[in-house]
Amino acid sequence: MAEPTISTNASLIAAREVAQQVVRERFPELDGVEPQVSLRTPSTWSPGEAHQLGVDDVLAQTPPTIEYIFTFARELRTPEGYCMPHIARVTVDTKQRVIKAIHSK
Amino acid sequence: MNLLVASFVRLRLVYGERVMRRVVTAIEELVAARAARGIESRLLLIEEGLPDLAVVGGDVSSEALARQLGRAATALERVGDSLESVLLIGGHAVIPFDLAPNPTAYDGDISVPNDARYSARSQSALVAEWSVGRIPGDEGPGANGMLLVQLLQQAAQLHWHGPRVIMKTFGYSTAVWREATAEIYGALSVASALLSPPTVALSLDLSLLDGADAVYCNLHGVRDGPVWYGQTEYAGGYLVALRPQDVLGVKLDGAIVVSEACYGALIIGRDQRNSLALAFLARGSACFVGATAMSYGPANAPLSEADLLALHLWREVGRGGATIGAAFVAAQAAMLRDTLRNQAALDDDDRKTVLEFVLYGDPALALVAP
Repeated sequence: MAEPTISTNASLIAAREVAQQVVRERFPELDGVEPQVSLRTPSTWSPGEAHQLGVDDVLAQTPPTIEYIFTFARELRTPEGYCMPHIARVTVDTKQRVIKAIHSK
Repeated sequence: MNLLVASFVRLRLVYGERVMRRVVTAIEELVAARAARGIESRLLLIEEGLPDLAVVGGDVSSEALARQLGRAATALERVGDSLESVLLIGGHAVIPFDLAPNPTAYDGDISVPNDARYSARSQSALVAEWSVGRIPGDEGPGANGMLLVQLLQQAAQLHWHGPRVIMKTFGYSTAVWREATAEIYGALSVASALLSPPTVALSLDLSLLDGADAVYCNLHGVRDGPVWYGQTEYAGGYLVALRPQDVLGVKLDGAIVVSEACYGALIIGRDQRNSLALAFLARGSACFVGATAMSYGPANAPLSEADLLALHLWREVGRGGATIGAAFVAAQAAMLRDTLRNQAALDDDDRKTVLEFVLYGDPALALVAP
């Protein structure tokens, strides 16, 4: 496996700081949780599926970019004794733009 | 062509000979009711296949059944027909869910129970080729198969009655998601829009839910319990918002129920007393759409994942004129289309949303009149 480059590490660190800021603002109950990081893996589409959805143009024009998904997870125990997982997933690109921030239902 | 898929061998094994015979009778009633509505149907017994179409029988596993349905679709096309919908008869103990690897890392789910694998020929397909619904039964300690018989009879009755008009709606959301929920409430024209808190299970006015034709819940769910939760703005503020016993106390004849709760449709080993999905169906609902695993949504607009799917589903319902199964497929396609236009690619969580949301109920049922 190739070693991560310095620039990749720098962008990862910067992206993580952005993700942590998003969590502080939108999901304060997860503030302080150390995130797990993964790379966003684009879906593979058959031409037939893309055509069926009417998105051929979107897929044809999409350049490959590196985006990180930061997963912040903690579990609580409800008063009824059930395990309540609380997950936030924040997707950030190498230019520190937040692609999306979502949480578990 | 609309296929009803069953395994008499598995039904006998799970519920015994007597109940299996009652299920067979109920299936015959459903086929007759569908025929009266002009819905062409035939029964596919998994072990026997469709010999006249050269579709061979197979074992009752998700992989074999997916392959068999793909062959049936191709065989139907060869004779100038097409596969419109598939109705799986029985819960996981009778016809197993496909257990797909979880696309989202680090969220605690190992696999995603799904029926999406039965909706297309290709294993990697994200867009359904035909709609799939499931009429589940009761499972676990005390299960006797009578819920499955009841739900099949219920589906037949709903065909006889014909499309309904949505007169009464019910919406229930965690307070912390009020912004995202508001847009979905708009699509549904919710009359009784509740937030939890302040509303909790003990203070819920059940007359608001009783007799509802459309029910939308945007509440938290848990893997190991049957209740759904509301949430305050502050950390740890989870309050029980809805329990099976609440739903079992009302009538919901013909209702369309959509839930975004994590694990809201996880029914493996459960019955109507410990599953809200089964409780909604047991009280007469025409269908229940929900997630079998952890589901996701944004805190604010723009809507994505489960919220976006729910929005499109209610829009499809509002249009009317189609079947429940076709509306579900159209909503999934619309969710994928919007997602691609908004973010140019699909994330793991978008793929998980497509996988985990299932339709319980007869997909060939006509939707409400437009």
